[in-house]
Amino acid sequence: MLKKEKLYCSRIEAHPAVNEFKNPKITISPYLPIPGYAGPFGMSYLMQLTKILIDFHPSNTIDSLPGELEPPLRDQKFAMQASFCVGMGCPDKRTLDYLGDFDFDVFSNYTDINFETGKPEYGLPFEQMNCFCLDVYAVLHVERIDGQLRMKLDGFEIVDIRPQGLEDAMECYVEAIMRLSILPKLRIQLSDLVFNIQNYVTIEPTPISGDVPFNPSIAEDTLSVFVNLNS
Amino acid sequence: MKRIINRAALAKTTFNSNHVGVLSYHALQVKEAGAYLGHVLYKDKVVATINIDSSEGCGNMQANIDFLQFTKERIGHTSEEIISIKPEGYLVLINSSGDTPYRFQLLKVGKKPGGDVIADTYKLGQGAVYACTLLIPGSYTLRHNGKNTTMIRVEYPTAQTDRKRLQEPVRIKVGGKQDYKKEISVLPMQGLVFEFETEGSIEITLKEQDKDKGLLQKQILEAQKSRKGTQKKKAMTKKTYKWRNPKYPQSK
Amino acid sequence: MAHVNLAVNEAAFKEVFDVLRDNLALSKSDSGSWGPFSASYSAGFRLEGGDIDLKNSPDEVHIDELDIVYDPLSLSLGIDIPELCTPSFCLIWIPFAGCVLRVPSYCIFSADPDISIPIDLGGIIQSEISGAFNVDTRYFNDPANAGMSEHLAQANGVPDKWQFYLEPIWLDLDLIDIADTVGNILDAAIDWAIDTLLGPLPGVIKDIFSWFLGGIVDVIRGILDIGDDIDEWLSDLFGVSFGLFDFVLTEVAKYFANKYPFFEFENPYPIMEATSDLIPVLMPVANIQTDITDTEFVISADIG
Repeated sequence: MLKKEKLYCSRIEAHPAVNEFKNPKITISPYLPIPGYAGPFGMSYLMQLTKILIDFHPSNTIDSLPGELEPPLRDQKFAMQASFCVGMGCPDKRTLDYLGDFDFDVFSNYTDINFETGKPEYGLPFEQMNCFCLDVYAVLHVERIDGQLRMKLDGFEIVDIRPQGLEDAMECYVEAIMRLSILPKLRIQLSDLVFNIQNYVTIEPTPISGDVPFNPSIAEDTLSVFVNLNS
Repeated sequence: MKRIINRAALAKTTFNSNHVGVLSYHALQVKEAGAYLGHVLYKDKVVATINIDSSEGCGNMQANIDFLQFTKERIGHTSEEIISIKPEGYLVLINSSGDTPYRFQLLKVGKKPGGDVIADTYKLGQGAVYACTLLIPGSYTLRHNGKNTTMIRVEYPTAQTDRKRLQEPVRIKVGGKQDYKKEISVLPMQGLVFEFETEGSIEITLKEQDKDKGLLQKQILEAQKSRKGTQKKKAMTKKTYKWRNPKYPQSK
Repeated sequence: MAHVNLAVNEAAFKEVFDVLRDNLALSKSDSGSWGPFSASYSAGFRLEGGDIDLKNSPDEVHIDELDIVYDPLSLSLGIDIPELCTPSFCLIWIPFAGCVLRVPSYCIFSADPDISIPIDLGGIIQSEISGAFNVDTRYFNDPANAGMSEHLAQANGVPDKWQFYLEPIWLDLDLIDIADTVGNILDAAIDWAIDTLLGPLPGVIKDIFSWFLGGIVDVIRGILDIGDDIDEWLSDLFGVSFGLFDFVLTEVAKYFANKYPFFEFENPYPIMEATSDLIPVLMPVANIQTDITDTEFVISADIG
């Protein structure tokens, strides 16, 4: 997959520094296993989040939230709209026929060839990526936890998939990816928001009061964080 | 700190007119014009010779000869320098450094080989002048031609002792019919000038040294006490030093 | 409206200022000669204390009672004392003619070079600085990152920076007090110097020498021109003769104005730190504005 950028569902336009520092453009995950298949091959696949829009309360950037997310956007919330694309590296039929006839028990006599039956260690070769993209919507809020700003998912919706069960299953899976993989990487240290002035003063979140009813606060198209810098 | 201490001077307790030494002065008159030789003797041996010329054309009434120059390296050396002196002028002999008991003879060059001795510190004649400055406070005996004559008292100076007295020496005539005072009083470093009326020699010897009174230490303590007493603790005049940034011309 | 507003109150600003203050450490040596009296000194100084007052319109930071600690402050006085020489007096005096023969004078005690009196004045002088400052925002374009990308510069520890300096508008140094103990210190020092100078001499000779000079303590104090007011003397020595206090003021001004920013941060700023396999997320910061009110110092900036 790493070498087949041209087949990606959406072109990745990385910051030049990513290439400069030879950072990976994609995160590698294990191959998708093929149930009931004892060989070492799995399916190559790609997931991408593209075309992200963010809209702080009040809502004026994302046209309309799906009804499942109970529009209009509530106070102290922000909405996100994105395209969630999935691509499957589809092998050609001749490759599948060949591997289908292959007897992997032959390798049990060779002590230097060692693979776990059923666990994909290699990707099925492919020259074509079958992509589809879904519009996804999310409603989130921001919390302060352990000196960090963290984004929390309140609701998630994929639009227009039938049958309903397929939509529900996909929402479940993508939501798990959001909560467990993507959002945890978007934590911002409070100290970084104040340019590391904590070297000189103590940073404490401003207590909730009449002047600061929410902290952090999402209002007037702005995410605000209030901290007290104390001697 | 490098100190120059003339230890011979600080320790001198005996003065003898026979010898040219530190803190003492001999004045020998050159009466007539002519060529002279000065012999410096140590233990009856001539260790150095000086050429002296006295002529009417010379304007010097006084010529100082410092015996410091007669170091061991110069023993037997005849100085190439000719000392010029006016007839009736005086040679003043001093030793600014040490107390080696040098004897000096002045000879007039003439028909007699080696010259005629016309003056000798061993026998200071009429008209000769010997002077000294006593340093150590105490009582000294003054002997003339071996006989006790009088006592010399060197006072122990205090802060009230007038230093102006140092400008005037005490003059004593020796020889002839003398009525010496019972005691002569001088300050340390004050000149004692002995004018010889007859041939002879004098010797001054410290008999009893005054005890150290520790006046310097007392002065230091008094000065400190006085400072503490007179220096009233007043609020120090507050002084302000200013710096102004030229970029802000309106700053005060 | 700016994206980021950083408002620091007076107490917190003082914390920031304290770090700046504590980093100043300077030293100075100098010497001078005034006839029979010479002196040299070696001084190190640092700052302590200080009260901050933020002023609005014009926007200024006022600092008062910033103590200068002189540590060490070593003074060495050199004194050219007269020598002990035999007096020149008249050997032969003739009436109407006057003195015709005078004995030459020579010296039997001298010291070269002069008496050297070392004096430790650490903690003796109390002085304070007060002043008004302007906050000066500067962009530091690090020459070490020439030709580098922003990420490479950040990785190599040579990113560009936004820096904030306290630029002095005016400074006053007030000489507040000189400790009472300076008199004792000077007395002890003179005492020691005399002892060192005359130490090898017998006590009787010391007394005569002192008398001959007119009282050596008075001679020394006379040469130093101390008089009754040691405070004034010391103040004039350092302030006028050596110009120490003007030097302190100039160096403090230079330090605050140019040598040490009281606050700085990288630009672009790493809003998310690097991980083991990913570069940091760098966020450009622009349109920096500062404002001083009577209670706060505010930095405003746009990000992104």
